[in-house]
Amino acid sequence: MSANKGTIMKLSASKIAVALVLAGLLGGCANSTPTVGSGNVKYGDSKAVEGVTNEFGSTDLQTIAESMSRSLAQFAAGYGNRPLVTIAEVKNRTSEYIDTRSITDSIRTQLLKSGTMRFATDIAGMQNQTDELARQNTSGLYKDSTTAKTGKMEGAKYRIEGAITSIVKKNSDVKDVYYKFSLIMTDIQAGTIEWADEKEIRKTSAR
Amino acid sequence: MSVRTVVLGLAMSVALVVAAQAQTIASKVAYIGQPRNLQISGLMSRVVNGLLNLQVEIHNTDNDDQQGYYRIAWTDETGFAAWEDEPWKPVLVHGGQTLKVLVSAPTPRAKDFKIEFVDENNWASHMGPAPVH
Repeated sequence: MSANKGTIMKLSASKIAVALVLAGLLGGCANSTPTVGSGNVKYGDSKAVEGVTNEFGSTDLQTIAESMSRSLAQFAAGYGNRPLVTIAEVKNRTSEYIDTRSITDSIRTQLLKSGTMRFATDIAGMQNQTDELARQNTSGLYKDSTTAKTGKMEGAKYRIEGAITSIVKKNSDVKDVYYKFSLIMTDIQAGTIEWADEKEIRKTSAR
Repeated sequence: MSVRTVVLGLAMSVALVVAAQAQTIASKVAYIGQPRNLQISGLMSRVVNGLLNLQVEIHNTDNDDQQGYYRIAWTDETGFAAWEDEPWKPVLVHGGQTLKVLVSAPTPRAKDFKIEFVDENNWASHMGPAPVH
């Protein structure tokens, strides 16, 4: 019994020694960070409110995408099955360059993640879609059982489109920018507008 | 005597309801920094088409306009995050105003929530450089 105890104590002592060595090694490692460079580049919070200038910025894009996708999800959740939609163009009617595609991409991503809507290939993605279908069906390289058949694509029931507009006013003291993002969802067959919403943003800065 | 008892009982009930309500709001709000002029004064929730809807009332106790920032952390029934970090959203509340903000959950998976709120005066000390306006 005491021999066993001695063995246990011996093992414990060796384990402690190993642990100490490992701790020392880890402690040594802790002095270095997994970074490259002089450290003058810092990663920021991508969700923080951006107010560098009062032109269209990341917070505006995120706010619009969130507001529109939540409103659409609320509407779509009323359907028994997830409606199949496609995103058409969002026109930029402001005086500045805005990548409206980036806004609609975010809206689509959030709606797909929410599980409330399905999206058919839109016009922008149609060339890649038809190229792939043609490649599988005409190259003779693929097994028939795994080839995506032509004539099986699903047509969207609804089309989403919209516009972003702005009004800019300024005097010697203040610059005021007002954005309005409007989105509508149209029943493609019936031609009726089934849903619409807007998001307004006002940004004012001293000059 | 009996009228007095009833009045006292009613007053106590009202006090208890108010206390319970206050406790409910407090348990659903995470202030970043000590709240100054803007406070969440009311909170209601309901489920519409399977999505959790919130009505958040933000009250400005000051006479001047105040800016704050908020976002919602959505969780599922097990307490796991049901959605990614939301972007912070700016909100302007006029002096003495109580602003109602309507929020809808991003997914039917979201069953619970916590409101994160930061007063503009606390933004710089807790969140980094203050946004320029």
